[in-house]
Amino acid sequence: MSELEAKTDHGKTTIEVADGVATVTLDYPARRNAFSPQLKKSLIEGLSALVKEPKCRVIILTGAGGNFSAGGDINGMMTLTGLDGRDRLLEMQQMVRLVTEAEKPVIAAVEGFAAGGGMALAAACDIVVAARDAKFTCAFSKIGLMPDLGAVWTLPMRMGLGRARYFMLAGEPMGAEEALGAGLVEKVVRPGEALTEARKLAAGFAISATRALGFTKSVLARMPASLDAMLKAEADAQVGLLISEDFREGRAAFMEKRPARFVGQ
Amino acid sequence: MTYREPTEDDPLCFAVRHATTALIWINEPKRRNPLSLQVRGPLISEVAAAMEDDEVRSVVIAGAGGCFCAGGDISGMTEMTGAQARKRMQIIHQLIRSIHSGPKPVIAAVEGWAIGAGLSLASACDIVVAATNARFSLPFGKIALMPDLGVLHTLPARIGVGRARWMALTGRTIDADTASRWGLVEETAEPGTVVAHALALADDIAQNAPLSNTVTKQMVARLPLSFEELLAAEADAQAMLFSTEDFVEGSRAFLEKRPPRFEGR
Repeated sequence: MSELEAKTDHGKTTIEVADGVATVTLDYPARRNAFSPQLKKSLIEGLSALVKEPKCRVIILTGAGGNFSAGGDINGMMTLTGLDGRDRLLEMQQMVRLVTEAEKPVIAAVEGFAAGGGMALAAACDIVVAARDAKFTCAFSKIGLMPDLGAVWTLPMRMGLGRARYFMLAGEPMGAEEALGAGLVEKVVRPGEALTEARKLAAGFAISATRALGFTKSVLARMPASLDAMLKAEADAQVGLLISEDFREGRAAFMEKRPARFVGQ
Repeated sequence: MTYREPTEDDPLCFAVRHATTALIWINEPKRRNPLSLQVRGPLISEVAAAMEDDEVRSVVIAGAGGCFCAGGDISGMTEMTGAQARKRMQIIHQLIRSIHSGPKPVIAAVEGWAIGAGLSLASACDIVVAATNARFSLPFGKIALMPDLGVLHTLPARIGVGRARWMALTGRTIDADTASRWGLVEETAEPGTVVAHALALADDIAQNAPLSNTVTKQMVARLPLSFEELLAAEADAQAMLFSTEDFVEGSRAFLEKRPPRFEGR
């Protein structure tokens, strides 16, 4: 790659919303959807808007061109000082923060590679659907870094501490089946079908009681916490839901033995 | 990797260097390598020495004679006041603290049995490699004690709280296959080859940037943290790694598609 190309900004995020489902596509296939400055900026802006948009009841994160994401852009890191790197990382963390704080389900649809920060972004999602030939890597230590974008939190939460340490310290790639056994992936599908499967799941979420799912996420995101702290959080959150429109509908539908029609409020 | 099995002429606990790995043996196979008072002193000092030695990049702990460790030395526990017992616990806790939070990755090489405190010792290690016929149990309740050496922290973090409670309350034995599925064991090997496997894994890890290994391990040892606390800690630690010589070397080697040469600086 020439100097000029390395300095030119490439990559973007495309967003499509239909029937309550937003599909967010990391779109920089020439670099396996690495987090170029433009891609990162448009992803943060896009997610920020979707988090607030009531018409969006579920978010799917996926990558263009048969890969999820290669993660951080190593070309762009070469000239970083420690302080620049810190500023840049603090900004990038906004991507995973938006995913975990969104009060609606976020599904990762992973084909091909989910490497480094790309793997960390997938791990931060509520549900990961992966193609059977997808590959997850956490090889930060091979370039002298530690796992970032929250992976040191999300991986042990998903896999348990021993497996997470092995994955982070050995730096070996993990296939989709192994990731399923370890708890990094929730569903494995045939290659090329990750997005289709994610859309099936999303369609179910899009007609469910969105606020109830959002509160579930929000309470889970407070982990680790003592049982007592979780009981208090649950009491606060459940009160809000007990007076919601969707709970009124859910209760009526249950009594009348008919399917509920939730509006997400 | 080749290594020499300990003999009766070797001390009850001693360390051998293999490349950049310190291999620490517990050597009293006739009694299944109990954590006797005679073993504790040298085990604590060998682990501490490995943690401080700049030439050492990873540590393997193994038991001689086809058994990892049968736990505390019950015959040595009889005549004790409560205050003496407390003092003893505090001393052995230095070992667990050093393994769990020290700067170098530690691998447990488990042949045969890891029982009681032997399981606590293995569980405190970053990674557990076990023989396919290895056995694990926590029979503390059968001698009227509670599980100790931090296992009530390290085991639930690996296998989940329900399974940890099952092991601690029933004292039942699980095999390597179950331990593997549950996340207590990260890698299995044929009986008799576990130490060789552990040394090979230790060598692989030692090829990665030493400061990355240290920071990753010690960040994991700080868990549980909230997601926000982890993101803040990660930004500070990654900033330090961005300014190391090894990061410059690692990212150059990555772009030049050659193996990196890390110095731990």
